[in-house]
Amino acid sequence: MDSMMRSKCLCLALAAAATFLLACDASAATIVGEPAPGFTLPDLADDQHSLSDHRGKVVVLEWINPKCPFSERHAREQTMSALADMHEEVVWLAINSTNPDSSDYLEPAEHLAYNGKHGIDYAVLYDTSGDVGRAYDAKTTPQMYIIDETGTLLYNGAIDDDPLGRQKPAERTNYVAEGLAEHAQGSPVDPATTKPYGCSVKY
Amino acid sequence: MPSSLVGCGLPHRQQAAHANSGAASRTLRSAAILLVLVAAPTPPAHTLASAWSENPESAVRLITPYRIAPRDGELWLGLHFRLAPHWHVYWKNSGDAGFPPAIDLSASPEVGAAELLWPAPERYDLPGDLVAFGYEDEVVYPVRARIAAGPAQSVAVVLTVDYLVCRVDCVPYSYTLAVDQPVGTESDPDPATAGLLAAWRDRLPRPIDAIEGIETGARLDLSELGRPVLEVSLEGARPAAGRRPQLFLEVHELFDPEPPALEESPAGLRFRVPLSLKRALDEPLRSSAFAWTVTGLAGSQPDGVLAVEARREVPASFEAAPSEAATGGVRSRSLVAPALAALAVGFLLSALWLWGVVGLGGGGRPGTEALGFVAAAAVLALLYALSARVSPEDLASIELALLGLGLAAWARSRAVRPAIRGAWSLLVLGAAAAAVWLAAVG
Repeated sequence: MDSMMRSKCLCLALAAAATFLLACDASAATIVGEPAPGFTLPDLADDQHSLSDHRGKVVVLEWINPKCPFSERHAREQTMSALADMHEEVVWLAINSTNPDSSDYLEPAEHLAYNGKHGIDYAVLYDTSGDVGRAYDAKTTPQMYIIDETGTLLYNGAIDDDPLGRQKPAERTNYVAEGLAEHAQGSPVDPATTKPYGCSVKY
Repeated sequence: MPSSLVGCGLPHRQQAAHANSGAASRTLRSAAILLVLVAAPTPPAHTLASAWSENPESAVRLITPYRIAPRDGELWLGLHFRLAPHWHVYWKNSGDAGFPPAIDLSASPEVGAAELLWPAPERYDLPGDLVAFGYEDEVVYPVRARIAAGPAQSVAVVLTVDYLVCRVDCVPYSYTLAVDQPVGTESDPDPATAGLLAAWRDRLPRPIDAIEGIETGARLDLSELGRPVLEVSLEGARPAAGRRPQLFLEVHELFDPEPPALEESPAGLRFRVPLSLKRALDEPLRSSAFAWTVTGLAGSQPDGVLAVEARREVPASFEAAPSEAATGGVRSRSLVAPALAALAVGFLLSALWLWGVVGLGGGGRPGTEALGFVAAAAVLALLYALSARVSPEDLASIELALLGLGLAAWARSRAVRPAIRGAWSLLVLGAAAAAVWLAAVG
């Protein structure tokens, strides 16, 4: 084939493929009951994690920002890490979508120190472009998602019903704990959505 | 009349450190501004108000509009905030983040049935296309309660408030505010605070059913699955001078709202609110309850600005509205725009193909290769523009059709026999027609 003809065909194929991918990406949604958007993100050691790696397991996503007082309070109270420890069968991933230009941004080494201080031993993924946060329509820190073994979104919302942190942890309704228990029993997660509380994600 | 009145603010807990403690200079500036804010209007000694409870971002106090409050019956209070520049506290729907203030009067056994009321809010845009609904600079949240005082000459009003104050960062605070309120058989207003509270009570949205000359209605348009739209109409309403009316939805179980688009007409106002579904529906939705507040309307209030509120069970409709002049990011239902866009894409692809053939046949005309890349970039740009107007699934279908068109065009250019070239031409036309048809239906 003539080189110019090959260029034209390549050009055409690239245009179609790129725009098709664009459309597929745009089809990602955060509707509970539908497939959760896929992603691949680096952790604090720059190792890549993909949602698809965990197909067959329940995944909990936690949007995190150590400089947000709400994330910090839950870290201090070990709300998430204690729950993650109770559910070893669940893959717990925290995602930090803070823009590097934001004053809330932490370098990975600083985040590691924060994790060590608060006993966070699950993976924290960096989404510095904010693409994954936007795909999930994550608006607050903390904001929680439960994804089932088939990749379907089961829950989107707050960690619990106590935004002010006035109750003792045992007295709160922890929506994620309840959702995991309901799913383990084969029951639908109810409530499937709640209004998350906290700081805005610093995109 | 009492000779002295007691007021105190007791900060019993600050839940968290400043969200961005590294910004010390900014905090100091905020503190300085706040000191000015708080110091300037120091209430006279006789004013019934708690002391200001202060922090670098805000100050809050409890006010009552009475020198002597009624011994029994309705009791009004006010939660008075002053905020450092660009910091805000929240409306009952805080928007994409934050949360509204919460009050607790359980330490005041003689005061009950307390209800925090919400003046007309403002909308604040945050980084990342997020929004907050609330108040900057100053706000008084009116509190409506009932009082049943004993034989004593005064009651202790003790109110605990938990609130979040945000700019981009957020800081939660909690204070207990107290006022020793004299009571009597006849109430006696306090001129220093009664006017302030009355001004903010004037800013409370009025139930729309109580407003003569304005009728509201709503419709939940589900004609395009995946792109529901709430339409709220206010017949007889018009904007207040210099104001642009805004619609605020309360938190909904099923839907998250996107920014509303306002349409004005001689008959009144109409808001179109694109919604995103939070969870898949188990069964078709027949109706859903929505509550909304509309601000910035012309009214008979002292400042001429009216806010109204309504709560309705809104019927779902699976047919598009007869007139749909879409604006402000709302998808157009007209078939003309997507059809034209698809035609443009089709022609560009055809042009790309023609250039390819010309380039092949002519042995390489200078510039045709660059022209091909320009055309490809234009195709991408047009498809991107189209992606904002049709659903992702529809866009994918259109692109598959266009891909077919391109492949058919390429195959046609390779065919030598006229009959085969004719067949490929038909396929090209079919694929182009399919792309246009898909764009139109989508």
